[in-house]
Amino acid sequence: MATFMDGETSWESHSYTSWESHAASQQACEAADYQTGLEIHGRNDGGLRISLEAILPDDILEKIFSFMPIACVVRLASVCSRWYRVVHSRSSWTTALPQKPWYFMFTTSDCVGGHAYDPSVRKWYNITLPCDVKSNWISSSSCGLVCFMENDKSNEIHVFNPLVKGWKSLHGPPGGDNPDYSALAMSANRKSSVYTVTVAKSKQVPGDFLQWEFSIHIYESESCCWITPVREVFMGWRGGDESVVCNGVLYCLIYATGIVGTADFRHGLIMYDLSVRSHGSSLKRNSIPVPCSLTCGRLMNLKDRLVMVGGIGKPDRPDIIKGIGIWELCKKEWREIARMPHRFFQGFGEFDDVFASSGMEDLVYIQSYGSPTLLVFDMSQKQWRWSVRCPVPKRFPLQLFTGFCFEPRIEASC
Amino acid sequence: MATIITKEQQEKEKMVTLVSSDSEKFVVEQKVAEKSHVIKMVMNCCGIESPIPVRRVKGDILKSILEYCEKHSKGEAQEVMEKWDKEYMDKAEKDLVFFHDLMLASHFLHIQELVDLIAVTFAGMLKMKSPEEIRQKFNINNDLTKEQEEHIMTTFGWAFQPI
Repeated sequence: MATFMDGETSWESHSYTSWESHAASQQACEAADYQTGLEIHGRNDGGLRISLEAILPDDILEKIFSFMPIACVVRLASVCSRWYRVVHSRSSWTTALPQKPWYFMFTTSDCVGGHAYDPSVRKWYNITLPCDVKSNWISSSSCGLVCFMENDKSNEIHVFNPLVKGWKSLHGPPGGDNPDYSALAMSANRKSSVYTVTVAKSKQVPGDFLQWEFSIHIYESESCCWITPVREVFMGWRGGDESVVCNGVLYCLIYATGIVGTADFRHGLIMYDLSVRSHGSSLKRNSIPVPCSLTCGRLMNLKDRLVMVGGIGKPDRPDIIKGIGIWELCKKEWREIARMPHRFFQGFGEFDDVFASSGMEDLVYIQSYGSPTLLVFDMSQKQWRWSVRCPVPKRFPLQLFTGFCFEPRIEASC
Repeated sequence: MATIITKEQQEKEKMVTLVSSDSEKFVVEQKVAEKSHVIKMVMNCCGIESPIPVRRVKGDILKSILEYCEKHSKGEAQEVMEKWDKEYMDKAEKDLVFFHDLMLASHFLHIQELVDLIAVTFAGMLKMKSPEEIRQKFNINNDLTKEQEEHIMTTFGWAFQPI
């Protein structure tokens, strides 16, 4: 027994001899912090009061912050300079669980002001985007970053984090021919600031109404270079403005341009593995038809699952929708995940058959272009729920509302 | 007959003695002590025959931690555990000093489930409070520089918008 008290087989000797040196030194640091903290407490506070600032090590603070809504964490940064440092250090957030995705809604038509919805606290924040983009541009978002591009002008792409100041402007892919359609997708690495942007262009072959040249351009932020691994001519089909990167694969919706035979086959999905970087078999030949006649089809990456949201057209009138469905692609087969219940579908009022949808993590946001109403579908709980009413009402009859979904991360930078 | 089974069981369930920083002794089953990654490492390399000193942790804290580890080594239903965890935390957070010590000790002993549980509870305590309220409650000095304050208010002003 005496030997233990003497410390021969004490805590420290066990730990230092048996652990990997890294683990041991980490423990030692923690132990040191712990003791220092208690000494400060005893000396300064007479042993009665305790200073949390003094004794909680950084990694415990990080842990605590990781369980809070991002707005609370930002407020906590103003408690003291150490908390400020922990909140704003990049390393604090690399291991934290992702926050629930927010939805940014453009609520003014002339400037970049809008409101962002945090579903975890059910609150709207009035936010001004750091960069001059328009609500009718196409966008994509990944790991806290968002990129925007004017619809048929792919020569400039803006990248920014909606929650912090600053932005970056990328020159679009070389060969600045204005495509008829272009789709934008982004995929960022959670742990580093590295990201990939893809642009899928579609241009009608001059003098031929049926042929469309489809090309995929890939930008890597590390090399700051564009490559164009894919050029293919589609017969009777074209790309559009909808694409997403999921598990390293680029998915694009394509649209039939010829005379419509069967309504069901007006849309298709093509896939391109971004890691392959070579163009073997035809993308068109390997395309997958969508599950039904579709309007306003949108693709999204929900926790590395490819999900599609779209309006289900009436069999005789495909432009009029009878409901909204959510599907997941499993082994090249579409599986229906949910269909919007009738009471929510009616809740949009004058639905106009056009709506926007956007999603990531577990959430899908759906909004009618005609009103600031926002509906949220939670994939994990299979639950539909209205957001809290957006504080900005509709001001004139033809006002359009759109928005985008993004992960709120204060450390993500471009 | 019954006593023999008990004896056999006792032999089956290997016991280990842990000694707190104030020399309090706790005899627990090995599987309970194993909930701490650190103690598990120590037992793996040095066996369980000799008492293991847990020098950084005082008796009252170690007792509470072992109570948690024992409950969590039984493999009970999730609902039962959630209810128990809540009651355990409700009791712990009443005494702030005890609560902080519990957090540091569970972190030090690498009991990940408990660290997470305490961090979630802590987050709940901080969530609804203003920075000034937090400074007062936890006796923290506001030592932000002018630049830091400005950065927060110009970039993250939205976070301070009233509900």
